[in-house]
Amino acid sequence: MNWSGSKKIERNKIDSDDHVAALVSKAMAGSRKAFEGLINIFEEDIFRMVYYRTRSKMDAQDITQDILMQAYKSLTRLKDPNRFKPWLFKIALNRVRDYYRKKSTLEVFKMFFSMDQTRQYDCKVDSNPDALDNLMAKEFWENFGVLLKKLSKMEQEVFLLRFMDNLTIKEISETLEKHESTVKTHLYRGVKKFKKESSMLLLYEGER
Amino acid sequence: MKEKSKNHLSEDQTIWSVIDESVLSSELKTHMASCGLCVDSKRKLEMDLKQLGNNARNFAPTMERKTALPLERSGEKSGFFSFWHFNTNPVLSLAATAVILIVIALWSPVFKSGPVFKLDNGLRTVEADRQIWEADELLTEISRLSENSLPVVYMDISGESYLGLEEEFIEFVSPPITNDPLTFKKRGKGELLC
Repeated sequence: MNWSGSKKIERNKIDSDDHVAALVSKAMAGSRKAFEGLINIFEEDIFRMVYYRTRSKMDAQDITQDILMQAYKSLTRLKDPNRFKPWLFKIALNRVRDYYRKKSTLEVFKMFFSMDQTRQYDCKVDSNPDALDNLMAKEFWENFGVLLKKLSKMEQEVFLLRFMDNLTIKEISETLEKHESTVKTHLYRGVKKFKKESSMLLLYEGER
Repeated sequence: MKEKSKNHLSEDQTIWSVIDESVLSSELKTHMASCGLCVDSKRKLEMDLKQLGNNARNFAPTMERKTALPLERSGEKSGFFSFWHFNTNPVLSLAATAVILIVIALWSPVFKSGPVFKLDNGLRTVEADRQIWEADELLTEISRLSENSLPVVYMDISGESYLGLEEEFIEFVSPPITNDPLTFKKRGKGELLC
C-alpha cells in the first residue's frame, strides 16, 4: 500500500465522518430525513454487530429496529455529533445485554433440551439456496463460536468491535468507556488466541 | 546474521505492531522499516484478521426488514393532536390504560351508584333515595336532641326523665296562668293561698 493510497483512504474516512456528523447535527435539530440518512448508513452495520453476538437472524432484526428507535428517541441526549458512532454502538451493546438477560430466564425452562451453542447460528439458508455456501457458512460460524469460547467476555467484545465491526481503538474506548490501554491489552490477548485458531477460520472465502 | 535475527520481532511484538505500533521501541520500529521478514509477518497477521472480518460479513445473513421511523418523534409537539400520540411501547400503553380505568372506577359517579330506577319525578337513583332517607333521619335526631339533650341513661340518673310524667303533676309544678280572682289576692303575712 503506497503512501498516496493510504492518504486517500484516510481522506475518504474523514469525509465520511464529516458527512455523518453533518447528518447527526441536522437530525438533532429535528430533521427526520437526516436521521433516515443515518439509518441507511448504519443499519446494516448494527444488524451484523447484533447478529455476531446473538447468532439469530430474527432476533438480530428485531433488536436492530429497537436500537435505531431508541437512538431516534434519545438523540437529543447526544452532546457531540462526532461521537455518534460509538454512542450508537453503546446503545446496541446495552440492548444485546438486555437480550441475554431475558434469554437467561427462558433458559431455565429449556434445561431439559440439549442446546449446543455452536449450532445456534442462523446461516444464510433462506437467502442462498446454494447448499455448499450454506455448509461453508455453517462451519464458519461453528468454528467462530469455538474461538469466542476461548476468549473472556472483555476479550470477545473488544475483538469483535475491532476486527468484525471495524471500530478504531478510540471508538472502542468510547463505546465501552474503558481506557485505550485497557482496550489494547484485551485486544492483544484476543489476537494471540486467534492466531492459534486462525487455521480453521480462514479456510473459507465467502462471496456475496 | 545471528545478531540481525535477534532483532526480528517476536510473536508478541508482531501482535503489538498490528494493534498499536507506537507501543514498540524505537529500535524495533527502525528494524521494521528495513526488515522485509518482520514486515511480512505483520502484514500476514493483518490480512488474516481482515479476512476473518470479511468472512463474517459475507456469511452473515442480510437484513430483510428496513427500519421505519414512527410518524412523530415522542418528544415533538405537533399542535392540537400531540396529546393523542401515546408512547408506542405496548407495556407502557397497557399500564397507562389500566391506571386510567382504575381512576375512572374510583371517581366515576356511574360506578358508585347502583341501578337506575325510573320514577314519576324522572330518573332517580338508589343512591339519591338513600341520601334523602339519611337526611330525614338526621333531622329527626336533631329535633330529638333539641328537646332532650341528655342521653336516656343520664336522664334517668339525673331524674329529669320526661317519660311517664303525668299531666296532673306537671300542672302542680307549673300551673297554667288563668283569670281566677283567688290568685290575684296578694299574699299577706301568714295567709295561705288556696
